[in-house]
Amino acid sequence: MAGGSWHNLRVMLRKGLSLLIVLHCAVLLVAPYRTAHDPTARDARDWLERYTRPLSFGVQWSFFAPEPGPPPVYVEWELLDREQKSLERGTWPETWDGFAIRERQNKRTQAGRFVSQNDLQAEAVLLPFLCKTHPGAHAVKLWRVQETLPRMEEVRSGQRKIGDRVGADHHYVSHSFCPEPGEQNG
Amino acid sequence: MTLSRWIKGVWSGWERFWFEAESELPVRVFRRVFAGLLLCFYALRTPDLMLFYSKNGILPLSVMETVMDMRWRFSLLRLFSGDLAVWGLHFLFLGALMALILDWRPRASAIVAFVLHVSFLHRNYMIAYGMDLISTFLLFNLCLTSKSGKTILDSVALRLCQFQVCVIYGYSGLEKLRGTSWWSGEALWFALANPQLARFDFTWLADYPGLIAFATWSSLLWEVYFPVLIWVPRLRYPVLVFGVLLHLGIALTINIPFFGLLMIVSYLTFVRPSELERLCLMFRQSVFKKSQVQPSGADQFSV
Repeated sequence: MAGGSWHNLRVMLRKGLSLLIVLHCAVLLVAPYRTAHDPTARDARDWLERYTRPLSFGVQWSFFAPEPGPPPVYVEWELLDREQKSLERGTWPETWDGFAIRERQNKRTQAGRFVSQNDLQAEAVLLPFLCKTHPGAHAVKLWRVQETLPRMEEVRSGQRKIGDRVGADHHYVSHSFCPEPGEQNG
Repeated sequence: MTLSRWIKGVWSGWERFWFEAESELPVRVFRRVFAGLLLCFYALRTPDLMLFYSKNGILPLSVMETVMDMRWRFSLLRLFSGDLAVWGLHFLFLGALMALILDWRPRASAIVAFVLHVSFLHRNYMIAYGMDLISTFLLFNLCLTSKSGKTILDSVALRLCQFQVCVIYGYSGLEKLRGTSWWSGEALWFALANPQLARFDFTWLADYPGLIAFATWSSLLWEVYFPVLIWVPRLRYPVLVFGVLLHLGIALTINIPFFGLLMIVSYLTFVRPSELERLCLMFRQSVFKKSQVQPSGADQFSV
């Protein structure tokens, strides 16, 4: 009798677990499609996100896809003083790459890709950061830069070299003033 | 065959697959090696902890909320945002990974590691890439595992890890089919000609377009078919060997070595227990031999 009830409990447990597995696997399969335009699909996605977002499961698996890249992207900055004279120029991430283990630069490159996605992100992230780390700066100018990669035949024929920065697109982002001391908040 | 017999057959197959996998050794070995890799990877972020997670760093909480959609994304670092808390949680995370390596309370350690991993991820999503994202899923699965590795949940965790690897390759492969450079056979060139990615100067490779095309197409084919071929017993090891070579190649040529190593480590979940045991034995013997050689060498030296 005890054996029978144990068996029933075991079967129930396995069925319950199976349901959870099916739901979880369905989410893992559906979650990568986040760009639904259909209203019903969008509603379903919003509901799904209550599961995927807390666990960080809403990942679009697209390593090196649909194209490998992106090509080198970064933000160029120029710091200005009160007379609008140039104090310093640089890029984020820095092109200097002297870390013994490249992982540290990879994180900076990834941050560079994020801030280079649009003007809002570039300005919102880098303006306060640059002002904070360069106390003498009064204003900051920003440009988003996207380089192009040379094709194989261009390198073969000597027309271009890897990393030559030919044809890089400089997109002007903003010329903004640093917040006055006391305005900055963490 | 009647419908009820067919359903019974499917159910028993389902049960065998999900609940009766030989999980003990694969789970225990994978857990320790994976935790070791994560420990190395995340220890490396220690010097940049304040830059990326502090309120005085590149992404203060107020800025993060303007540039990222944080709905349903919880993080302990939003509750405890002081520098001391960031340091404390970082070292607690590393401690949890160390506990997983040592097999000390693995389920509790995995839960702590998962919560902290997601907390750091959600505190600064802009620096997350493949390694961080894949680790989330694998750490989540490890939360189901027990010390013995013999329970029903260990079997489920093992299968979920395998399923996850198939999803990653399947989606990445199909997504690549939308890219023109993968069809033209130039995709790998564009990865190797990208100074933000490539480890060395690969200008010389421009003279070998056939080699680039072969490598591009073979890796694409392998990736697309991985989720199917890995379940064919005869093809499992050839598929895994190709994967190991591919990821070692990526680790050597492109500056994302940890990503490649993570994928190779995830293959441990596909290795049959008997062969995994042989691998462990070989590893132990090689380490044991070395430690035996040293004392005898030292004796000869002293004589």
